[in-house]
Amino acid sequence: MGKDIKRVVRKDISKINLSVNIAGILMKNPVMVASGTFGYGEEYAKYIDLNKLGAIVVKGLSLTPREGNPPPRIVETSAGMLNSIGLQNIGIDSFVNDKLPFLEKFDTKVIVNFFGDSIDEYCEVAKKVDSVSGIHGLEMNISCPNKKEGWLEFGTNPDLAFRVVNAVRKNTRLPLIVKLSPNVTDITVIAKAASDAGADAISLINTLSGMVIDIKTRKPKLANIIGGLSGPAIKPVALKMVWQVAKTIKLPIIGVGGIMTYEDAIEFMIAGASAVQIGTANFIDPASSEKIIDGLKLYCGQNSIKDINEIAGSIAI
Amino acid sequence: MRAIILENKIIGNSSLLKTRRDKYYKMRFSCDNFSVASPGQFVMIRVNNSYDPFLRRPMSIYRIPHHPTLKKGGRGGFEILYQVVGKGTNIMSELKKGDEIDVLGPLGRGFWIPEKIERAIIVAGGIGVAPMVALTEEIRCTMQDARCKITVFIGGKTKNDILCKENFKKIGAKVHIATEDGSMGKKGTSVDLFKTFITDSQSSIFNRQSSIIFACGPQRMLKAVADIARDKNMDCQVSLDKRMACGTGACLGCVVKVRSLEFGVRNSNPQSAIRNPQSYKCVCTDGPVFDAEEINL
Ligand SMILES: Cc1cc2nc3c(=O)[nH]c(=O)nc-3n(C[C@H](O)[C@H](O)[C@H](O)COP(=O)(O)OP(=O)(O)OC[C@H]3O[C@@H](n4cnc5c(N)ncnc54)[C@H](O)[C@@H]3O)c2cc1C
Ligand SMILES: Cc1cc2nc3c(=O)[nH]c(=O)nc-3n(C[C@H](O)[C@H](O)[C@H](O)COP(=O)(O)O)c2cc1C
Ligand code: FES
Repeated sequence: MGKDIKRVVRKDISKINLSVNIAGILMKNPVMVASGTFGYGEEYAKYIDLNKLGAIVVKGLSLTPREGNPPPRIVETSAGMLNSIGLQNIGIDSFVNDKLPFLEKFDTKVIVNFFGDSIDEYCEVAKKVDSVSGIHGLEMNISCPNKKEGWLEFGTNPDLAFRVVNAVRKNTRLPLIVKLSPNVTDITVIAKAASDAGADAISLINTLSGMVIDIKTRKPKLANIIGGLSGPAIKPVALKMVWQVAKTIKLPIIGVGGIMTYEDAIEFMIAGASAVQIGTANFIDPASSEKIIDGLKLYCGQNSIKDINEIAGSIAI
Repeated sequence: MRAIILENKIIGNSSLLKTRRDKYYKMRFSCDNFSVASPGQFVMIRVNNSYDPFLRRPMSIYRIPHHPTLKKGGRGGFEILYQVVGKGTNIMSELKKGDEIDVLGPLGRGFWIPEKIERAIIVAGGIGVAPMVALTEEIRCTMQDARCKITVFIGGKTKNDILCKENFKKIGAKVHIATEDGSMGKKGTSVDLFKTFITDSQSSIFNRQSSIIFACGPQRMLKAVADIARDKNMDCQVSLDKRMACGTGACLGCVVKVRSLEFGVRNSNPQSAIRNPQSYKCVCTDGPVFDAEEINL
């Protein structure tokens, strides 16, 4: 009898629709891996089947290669970690020439996360990849300073955020996801600016700014003094922000921040996310994303949900 | 990957210490897929299933199964040697035979043993001996006919910190010991011993060109060894210890600065260095073992 039940459940599970459409990016499931936590994909190909992922968001790229910050760059915190990698990357050209061909072999969506020091630089990167095949979408990291005009972070000022997103929008036909910084007083204001400027989807959150001090030496534990907090420690903050933004704008939302299990992912979807990104969890268990996909299926099966899209924004308030 | 603990016990004189802190343990695992591991590679251990501690802990492979004495078991396996220094290693010390833990590995680039080496000089400080045991066992296995001479310098704070002396002796290595308090061997550090050896025995005893130095220990020690090696124009490989998060090259958290290119050409291919002018390398994937000339210690 036990066997029969199992078979029935499995049959039901196979009928469940997990696929989602985020701003024209058709993904086989809502589970993506987050920028900076999965390298350029090949780093994890040994540990999980990349074909199973909804999408891979690659390490943040810039117009030219970046050296990044001096070490130490990481420190463990309670249920999380701080990083100050400083956006080290190989540059957009090397990515397209050396890394993209590997990713193209897999049946998953490739999303290019990128950033710049100025509005022009953002636009240059966007232009460069607009007609490159094998790239299915762009994710703009706006948590970086505008080095040309006053060093204010694009993502902390609605006017700057609008201008940079709007400029990039004019330079790309690819689906454009804007990734928000949580280090602001009111995230809905920035979300609205990005939406008004022509973003196709919003992902949130990037890391929360923080620091750690060694009490013996009285020195900060990161060479850069401050860094970005990620992992389960930030999940409640991320969840709240997803919920707030989902109430404010109409665009599809991708929830990021401390997701370790499928239960965490479901929470984000209930709060209003149409898809999720798995970040730091990849470091703890390279198979996290795969396990979360299996878990989502199981959850739907157990709760008679035929289509995962039913969950998004189903919060009972 | 699940690994089953076959043994987890205190080793050496550290059993005399009153608290668990600073004690040294040997942990032996049964685990598939470890036949391909090489000396100097490491594993990332998840010490429990909670978020505290959050990250995996990197540990060098101390002994590997293809060495004859470990072959019997059927399934593969490996051993690590660790010092209790904090939360993670403390939890590890409480694990029991039969417990299962999650291990990622083998990871990284280990030592490479050049052909036709007549003498291997090993310099290790404290827990830095761990990967050196696998290394010397490998040298013995692969160079049985060549009769490569192995000279080992081990240093530690006190006699409690001197580990693996017998492992090295068993394979016929000449072992020199130094402790900072003089409680065992010479008073001083392993670098002092090594320096004396190199200076005294200049050309008379051995040929520097067919000798190689392998070092593992605190960063300052590695720098001192690398400086001596450079001065004497000898090949030197060092195994680095950096904070890690992923262990797979994805997070870029564990980097070490590359030496400027005009220096870094002696052993690495100069052309590849020019084609790929990156300023940092990942300790977890480009290392943890580097040619001392490659990196800025
Ligand atoms: C490639 C590699 C191989 C290693 N091999 C071994 C090994 O074979 N045996 C062994 O005992 N240890 C080894 N280490 C070091 C080991 O990983 C750390 O001692 C361990 O992570 C400490 O964990 P903890 O939770 O007990 O200490 P924590 O509570 O995290 O820290 C305790 C103290 O140790 C310091 N510390 C923590 N991690 C490191 C580190 N990576 N380097 C230097 N200081 C650190 C902290 O600043 C703190 O003062 C290796 C490290 C690397 C990178
Ligand atoms: C080591 C590291 C590097 C990161 N690099 C980037 C990056 O290059 N671009 C970006 O937009 N976000 C980057 N992030 C942020 C993550 O994509 C994610 O938004 C954040 O870590 C929160 O999710 P998590 O708690 O699941 O990790 C990085 C995070 C970490 C931990
Ligand atoms: S530990 Fe993540 S790149 Fe080395």
